[in-house]
Amino acid sequence: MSSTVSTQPPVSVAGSAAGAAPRRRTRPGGPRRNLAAAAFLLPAAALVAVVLLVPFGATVYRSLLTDDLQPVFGGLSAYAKLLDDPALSLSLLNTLLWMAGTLLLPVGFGLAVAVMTNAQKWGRIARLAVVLPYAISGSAVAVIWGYMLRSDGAVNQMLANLGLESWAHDWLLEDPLNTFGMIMANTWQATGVAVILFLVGLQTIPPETVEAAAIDGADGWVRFRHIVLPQLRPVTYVVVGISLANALRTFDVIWVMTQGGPARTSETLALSMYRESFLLQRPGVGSAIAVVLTLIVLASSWLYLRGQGKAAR
Amino acid sequence: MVIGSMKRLLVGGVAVTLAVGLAACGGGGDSGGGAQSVSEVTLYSDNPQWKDGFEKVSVDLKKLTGGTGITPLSIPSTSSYEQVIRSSITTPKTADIVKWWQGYRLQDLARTGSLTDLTEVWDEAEKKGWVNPGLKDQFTYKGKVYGLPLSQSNWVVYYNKKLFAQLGLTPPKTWDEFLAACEKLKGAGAAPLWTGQTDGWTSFIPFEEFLSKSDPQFYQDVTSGKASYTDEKAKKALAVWKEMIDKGYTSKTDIKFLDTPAQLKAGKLAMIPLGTWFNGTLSGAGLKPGEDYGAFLWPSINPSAPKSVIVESGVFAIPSAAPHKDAAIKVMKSWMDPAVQATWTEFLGDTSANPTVISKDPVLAEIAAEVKAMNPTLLTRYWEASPPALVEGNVQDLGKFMLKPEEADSVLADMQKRAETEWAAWRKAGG
Repeated sequence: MSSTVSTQPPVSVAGSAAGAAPRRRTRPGGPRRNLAAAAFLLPAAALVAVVLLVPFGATVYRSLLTDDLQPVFGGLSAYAKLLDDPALSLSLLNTLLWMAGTLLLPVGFGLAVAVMTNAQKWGRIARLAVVLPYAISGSAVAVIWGYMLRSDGAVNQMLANLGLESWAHDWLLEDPLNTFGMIMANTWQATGVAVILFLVGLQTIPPETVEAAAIDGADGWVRFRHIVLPQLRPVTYVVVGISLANALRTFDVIWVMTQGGPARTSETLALSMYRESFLLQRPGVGSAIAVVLTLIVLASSWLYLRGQGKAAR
Repeated sequence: MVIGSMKRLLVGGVAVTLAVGLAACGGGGDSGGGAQSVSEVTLYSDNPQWKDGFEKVSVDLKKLTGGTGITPLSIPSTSSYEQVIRSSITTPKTADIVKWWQGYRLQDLARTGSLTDLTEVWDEAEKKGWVNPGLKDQFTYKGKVYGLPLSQSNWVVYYNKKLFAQLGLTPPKTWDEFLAACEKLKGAGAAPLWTGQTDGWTSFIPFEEFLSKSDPQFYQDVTSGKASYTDEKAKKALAVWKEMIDKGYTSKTDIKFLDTPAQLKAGKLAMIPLGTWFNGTLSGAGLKPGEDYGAFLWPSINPSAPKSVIVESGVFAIPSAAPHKDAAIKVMKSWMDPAVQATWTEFLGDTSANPTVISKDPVLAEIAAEVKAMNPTLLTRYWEASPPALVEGNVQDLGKFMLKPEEADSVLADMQKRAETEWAAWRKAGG
């Protein structure tokens, strides 16, 4: 703990700067200065427009065309198919499961591991063990977990050795167990980044606030609940944001472990988009799924940023 | 002074970046251009284990073409491979030769105009007796040939020879013998028959075999859209399958097909129903053909039904946008040459589509002799026997059946519903 405190001068400066509100902002310069600022912004704005907005526009346009060899304007027919197909409804439900699972598990475990190991001497080793899987690619994680979860895999073998055969399942074949299993695999990998971010957050907390609480008689849990946790709010937003984005774009783990099967029961919207576009050759429906997925991402990001704005105020 | 040097640094940095960028573009142009004579054409496949075979064949091809060989590249997942080929085939970034599938799969690509007409190459090979004329239909769309066969695979049942010998079993000739063997193998603690679905396509294997071994004509009718999946004959085929699942004759369905050789070797698995193209994979896994494993043709479920065998041939096609199209055509003209086919099929451990090339592999020789003696109806594999979107959807439904065999009727109803939609779409698109 003491070494942590002694390595934080820049952090405490930043902390006191934030606490010195209301600060007077330096006045912006004249139009020339604004023009210069615009020139600096332009490359980034142009890049976003070219690589993000133009393809998105093209995707929206494609979603309004039919899936014939010579596509014609089909209105919202691709979106109607999306609602009709039970496989796609299940895919939407799975996507929501992934969102909930990824928000609860990596964020929760990440916070717990960071808080519990931050002040411990052996914390570095424990953290290394948790952070290490983050360095592995999603496909490799999926291969490892695939061997663990398949019906003759490590998990069932371990249960059998412990005399718990009745707990054994066909983890990747039963719905929704397969989705839960894959969320666990993803958690194993994604917790690492949450730990790193929460550790950074913990180290930005001015030690005097914690010490003051300790002098006032606040014990471990009360201190964590009322002193540490509120000060972790900014970093929590970052972790939640990253986890949300990761959950919505999850593809590799699912594709390698189940290919969305059996019978499309473990598909998420990212997989459905791929299947419809490239395997079933329905670019219209595939584009419609992409648009819906984008809307979900935008809506959740908006809600989240709005919440963050309120909290900041 | 400092600003001046920063400016110089910035300008220098931009210049370097531009130069690197341009060099990269230039490099791409060179590799794609065909100004000088081409020594290698690229060949994409979905099987990384074929790399050594292609390299051996390349040596033969260079002799025959006057210096043009092949550089193999692979994407080791059928689904990913399909996606990459479909999305790149109209761009100059596509390969010179792509491995594809016969029947409706080839037609599906050909009708988009993304393949080169190879009718002349086929006719030349046929004239020389290098290819069985009976296969031509499987490579043709609207009168033009768009591919050459990679091999000619018969679909068989591989079996663990040592395990069979231990239990006093011989390859079954009748359905009753087959079921009796399953019972005995199960009693010995092995999973009798591998059936899988995790690969995304393998769920059709038991379906096509149980259906075609009950009534080959019905199999042809249902796959060509002339008969219904809800017909009693289809229900009976699923009933046979359900009985096998219920009796524990089938393996767990989450074993991938590339994991089966290890399971066969360990004696955990007794039989693997796959094409003769898998022979090379089995021997590559350290199993000795004729000693560790053998193969037999599926017995008929209905003894009065005509004998049938499922056949399959991979395809080599040339994209219209191939960067070295002329060189690729030159390579394809020599592909069916007996010298090339001998090297290729010896490596592959499969039967050549060139009837003049005879395999030395004991398992293949035995199967070839059995096929010759039986004179069966040759049926197109399910994967290529109907429009791709229909097959892709139905394999998902069959995967569901494997887990919930009691839902056979609703699975067949879903398959029929999809058949109606997809056949209508195929025909509307001019198929």
